[in-house]
Amino acid sequence: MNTYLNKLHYSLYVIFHPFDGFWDLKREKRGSLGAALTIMFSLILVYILQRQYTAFLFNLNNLNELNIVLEIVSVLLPFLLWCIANWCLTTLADGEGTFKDIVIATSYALTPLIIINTPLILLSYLINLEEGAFYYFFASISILWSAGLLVLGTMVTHDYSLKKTLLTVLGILISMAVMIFLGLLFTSVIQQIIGFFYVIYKEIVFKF
Amino acid sequence: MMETINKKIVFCGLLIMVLLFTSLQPTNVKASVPYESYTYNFWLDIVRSPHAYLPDKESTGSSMGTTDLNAPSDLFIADNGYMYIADTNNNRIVWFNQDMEFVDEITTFHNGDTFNQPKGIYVTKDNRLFVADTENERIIEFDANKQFIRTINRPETDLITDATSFRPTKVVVDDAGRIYALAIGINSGIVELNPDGTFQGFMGASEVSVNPITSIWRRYFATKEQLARMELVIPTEYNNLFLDNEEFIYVTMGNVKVEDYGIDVIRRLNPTGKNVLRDFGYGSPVGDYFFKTDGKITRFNDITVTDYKLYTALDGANGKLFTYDYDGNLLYVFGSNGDRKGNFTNAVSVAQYKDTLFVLDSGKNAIISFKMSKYGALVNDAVRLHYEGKYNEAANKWEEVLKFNANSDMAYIGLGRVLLRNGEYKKAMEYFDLANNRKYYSKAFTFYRREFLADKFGAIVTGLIITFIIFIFARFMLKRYRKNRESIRRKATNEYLLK
Repeated sequence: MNTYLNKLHYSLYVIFHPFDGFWDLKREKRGSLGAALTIMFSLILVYILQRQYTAFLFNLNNLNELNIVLEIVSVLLPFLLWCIANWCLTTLADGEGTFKDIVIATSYALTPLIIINTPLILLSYLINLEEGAFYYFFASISILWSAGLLVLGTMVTHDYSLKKTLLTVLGILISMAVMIFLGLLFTSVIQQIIGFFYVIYKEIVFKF
Repeated sequence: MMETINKKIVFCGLLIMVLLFTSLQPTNVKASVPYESYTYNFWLDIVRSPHAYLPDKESTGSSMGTTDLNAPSDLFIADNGYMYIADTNNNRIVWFNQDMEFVDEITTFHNGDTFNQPKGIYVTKDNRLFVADTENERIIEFDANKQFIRTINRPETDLITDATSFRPTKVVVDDAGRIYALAIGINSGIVELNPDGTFQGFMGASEVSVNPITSIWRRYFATKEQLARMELVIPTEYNNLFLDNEEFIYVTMGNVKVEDYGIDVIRRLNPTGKNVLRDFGYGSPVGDYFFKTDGKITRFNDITVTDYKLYTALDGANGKLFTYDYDGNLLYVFGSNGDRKGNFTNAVSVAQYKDTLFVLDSGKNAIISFKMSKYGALVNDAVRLHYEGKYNEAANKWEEVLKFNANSDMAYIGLGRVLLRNGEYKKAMEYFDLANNRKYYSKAFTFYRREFLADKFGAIVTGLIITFIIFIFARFMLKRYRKNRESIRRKATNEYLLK
């Protein structure tokens, strides 16, 4: 239990010392899958809380139409797509990280989103629209920080040069888009097929 | 036993008779209104609302005591309530009074001259008549006694090329006598003429919208043959105008491409031709909010404006009327195409007089009148009182409106603004929350926060100090506890070692 907490606590070290942090995360086994999943789970939680409980002034969602399943998917899907695309590309381009390493590094890199956005929910109740600049400033900081960590995490985990990392990240983004495209194509084709057989079934039923 | 059954039968019979009797009584049945009324909320979803106007009468030419109208195109109501109609295919100007009775008409004038398809009519405050005599390519003025005064022919200017004819469709005249006309095929804006009929200039031309890719394609890649087959890039013409009581001109645009959906189709032009229409509603005043793939966009073809800048625009294509307030908030939408009484087949013009709205239908060749309902009157009154700066009276009206329609966002905003003004910030915040108005919510919130902090300043500071002290104390205790434990452990180790 203590090691689990230590490994979770280590995420705070990683986000401030990304080079050392990510190196030890993989090579010294300072992180664990359990801790990584905890971070992901809290991220989903924070995201849902943020969507639901951010103060009225900064919450432009239609709360009547908020769907918790969709919210979970909208965090998990990009995460999984990133990890899978990352793994697919780096295995081919002699990256050192296993899929597990990638999942751990990615989760740890998302920590700033949690630690900044949680107090932002509270802050949103205290400020008005004119002071909203602070709110949006911190929100963008959290995103930029995490994005930077994602890149550095990829770099250190696979022991890449910066140039190669940037190319890889570009490749990852493209392959994510391709995967989404294929997914949509697949579902639409399946739908067509199901529709086709359904029509045949209906015709037969009407015939007899 | 038998007796009770008999009693039951008698009782049932009585009951049936009573029921029959009551059902035969003439009940107060109202004809159902042949359209839906609605408005849009913050997310631009349709929200049903009570009817603001109810269909009243459908008056054809013969029912008003003259020959039937034939494809009329313009309706204008003068200050005295007379309804002037440009009866296009009958080549006449005809007018009726408020009781829908025929008053007079002009068919021939000036020694047997006639109109040729007049499409526009305007009556000045001193009852002079201006007729856009479209196919004769001229504007004709009559005096208050309907006697011919002059014709205003095609203005002499280099700006209208000789190839383009000057066929005026709509005309308005301001207090200084300047004439503003729209003409078929002239897309440089409103033609502005001096009181003596000479050309002054164009006003408020609508801009062209071209996307960059098309523009690059046209300029560098398209061959001559391709260019010849391509659609010309020309600005959309205005199709109607209305002069409000401040002498600003409202114009409407109907012939917009579906891709251009969302451009300002209603404009209020100031004297320099700049669009100064206020746009602070949930969406811009462009009619229905549709997806671009749905081709049925709103196509306005006329507009009427009250003294308190509440304007109603007519969507002839879909047979709907959209009413907005001064700030561009959509108040209500009603009307529908169809064959029932109160429906339109080809609505071409709208005008209002007091509490009645008149729509000229060139398909039905009739004037369809709508009486304002109690709900509509309350909304309009509230908007008027607010425009006049009588906020508290407006709030009373808004409260009444809420009794009819609990979904009226405008009412919540109106009430919230009064509460804000009266210093009831918390309540105001609730109302702005209901109406999804973040701008005013933020204002109310700022005041509320200030008040809250001032009220609770002592408590907050005390709380902070106490928390701080507890925190320091806890840290101190924790340190001591750790030290103790350390020393105990050390002692134990020493003892163990000594052993």
